[in-house]
Amino acid sequence: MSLIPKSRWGRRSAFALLGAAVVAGVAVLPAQAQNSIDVVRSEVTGADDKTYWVENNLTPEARQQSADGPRKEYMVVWAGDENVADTAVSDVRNLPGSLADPIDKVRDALPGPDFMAVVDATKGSPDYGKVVNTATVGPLVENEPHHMQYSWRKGDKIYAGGLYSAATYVFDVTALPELKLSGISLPSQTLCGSVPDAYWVLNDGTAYGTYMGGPVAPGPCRYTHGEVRTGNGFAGSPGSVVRLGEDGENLVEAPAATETPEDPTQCLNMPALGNPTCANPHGIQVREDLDTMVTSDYAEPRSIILDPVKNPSPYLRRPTVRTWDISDLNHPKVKSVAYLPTGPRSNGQDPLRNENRAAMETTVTNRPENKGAFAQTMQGGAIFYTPDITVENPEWREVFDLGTVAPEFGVGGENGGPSANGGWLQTSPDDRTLYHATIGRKAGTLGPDDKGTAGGVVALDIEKLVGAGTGTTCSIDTEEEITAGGAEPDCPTVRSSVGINPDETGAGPHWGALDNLDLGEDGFYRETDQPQRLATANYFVARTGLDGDHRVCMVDIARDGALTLDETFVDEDTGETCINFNRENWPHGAFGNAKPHSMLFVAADEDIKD
Amino acid sequence: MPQYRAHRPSRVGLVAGGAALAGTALLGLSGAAQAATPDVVPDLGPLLSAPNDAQPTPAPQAPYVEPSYTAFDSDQPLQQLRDFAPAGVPVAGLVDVVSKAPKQITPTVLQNGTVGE
Repeated sequence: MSLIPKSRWGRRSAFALLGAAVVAGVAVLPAQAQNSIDVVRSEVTGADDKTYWVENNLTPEARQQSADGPRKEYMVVWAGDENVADTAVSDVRNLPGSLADPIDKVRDALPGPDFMAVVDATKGSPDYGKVVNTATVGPLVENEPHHMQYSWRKGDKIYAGGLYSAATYVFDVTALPELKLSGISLPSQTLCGSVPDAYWVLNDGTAYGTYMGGPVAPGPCRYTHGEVRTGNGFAGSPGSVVRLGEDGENLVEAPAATETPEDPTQCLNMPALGNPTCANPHGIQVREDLDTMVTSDYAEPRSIILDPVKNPSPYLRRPTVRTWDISDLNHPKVKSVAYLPTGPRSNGQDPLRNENRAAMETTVTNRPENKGAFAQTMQGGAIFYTPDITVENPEWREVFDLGTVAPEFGVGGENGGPSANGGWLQTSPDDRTLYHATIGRKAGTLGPDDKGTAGGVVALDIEKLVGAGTGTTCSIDTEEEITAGGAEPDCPTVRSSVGINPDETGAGPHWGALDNLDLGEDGFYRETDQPQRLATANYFVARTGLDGDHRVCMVDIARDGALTLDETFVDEDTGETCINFNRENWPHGAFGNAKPHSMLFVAADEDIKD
Repeated sequence: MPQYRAHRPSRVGLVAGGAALAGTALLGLSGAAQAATPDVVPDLGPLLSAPNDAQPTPAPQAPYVEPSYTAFDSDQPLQQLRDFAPAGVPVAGLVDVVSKAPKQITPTVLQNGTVGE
């Protein structure tokens, strides 16, 4: 006996009912998880006169924390909803295993709201590691939440960007664990750039942001001060730097490209531009006391999110770092464009993995007496340094190859520099240590015999290098130095390292953040220049083919600089070390897996003393 | 029955409207055309730009990397042509990565080879 009706109309009705049941089930399931959740919405009107919001979903634990008890420190994690466009390729690769649990698979396939997760980061608290609020943003979905600023100070807004939506959200965190939306910048407000990447908050509370991709529409684009550059369109080239107000207003948009062409052989633009340019700024850090900003160029971004199709040319990844004159904060000007040098591994057969390729991040020194800055390369797997960013043309030298530390992270580890997939790069506030997170290289990347490398975080001792001032001699220029470290006495050395997922290749963290808040004996938090822990996130961008296991981990920093994984920071559902953003239920509903890209340590204003 | 008088546009109006339409189309398409065919359509961007004395000019040369044509032997013609990118389109690279895409989505249990970047 068949369950399918024999008549045509009967069959149509049955299929219609079945479809309605599936839709209803998917729609109802998220609502079921919202019991005992306080929903508080904050709205702003965007430049298009439409309403944009953040909707807090506060758990009972959040209410308890608001009432009494010890003052809380939080970690806010900017995370995107995972959907079928993130998982299709990996699901096909993992057949037949990916067919398990089809109900969750269907539910996860739909786009859901992106959100800022508020995690209790108060060590010793019974709620340590619990997600106490998910602040969802709307109505835009598919933002692809990416970076925020590198650290947070009392009074700062949080600037958080979406790669795909080209929107920047500005959050008010004064009343944590609740968030408010202070403003939003839409693509129509930043026409000469797209794909916002990272931010630096200035002393007055406004922020510079890198817009890595080209103008929203191809063709000439006029920036705030009348400069005109021709671009090849959204997520192409050249990118820009935008100064945003605390309400998301675009105060200034400045070109990252120079008026003159950059090297046409190594700055490929697809399609080509009359003035070839490598200007796709990603990393951004600022020394206001030196009137100088540094940005690093990563890639023409639209060419890397086509998984399973890979980047068609190594020269779409960038080897350049720019310094900017910001003596007039409302008129930032590119002051120098420097090509990072090639190194002893570089060759013409695999230029994608030459040491200088894909300059993702840069970080400045912090102390007034120091003027140097570092840069790192994602595919190149190397770290570079210049001792003075204020000179007309800073000279950058390679000072560390990740091949030196790769064996310490875990499995594999041979030939650890190429495609080490390094990301987060951050000097300690006292300029003694340089922290760097690396994903590592999946086995097989370089060929069938490639065993790959594990990833993790390394802490480099940079005291001698920075202390040498402009007299630094460190330079990685021999094959021995690739694995042994620099031969010169001022070269960085490994102070400590910790593997994240040490038993897997290519499964380490892309991002990290130092905890710059310290709990005093009076029960209040204060900023510290001796951070005692850092957090990491195992997610890059799923649609590049480099996804991650979506876990956020905590790493303790001992007085001697030793790094150890904090095993008390556990997932509230599984009890396993690190909190997992692959979970069925969130405070805002059963929306399934999420992609945590970046995070910051924060506390409510009233809980911090200056 | 009401009488309607057909409105005839003046010849001057037609010419002005046509010119405005053509000008708008030209401006609208020139950017895209320049981006697609940079060697054919001149880039007027720098000429239209406000002067900036602080600009670093000229931008420096990148460090030398051996061209693909000499870096690979003649038995690897696709690799030899890797740097060839007419109008910014790396033809050999596109052929290479597209042809490898099916392998990238071959179930892991069946494959053996390169998997990522």
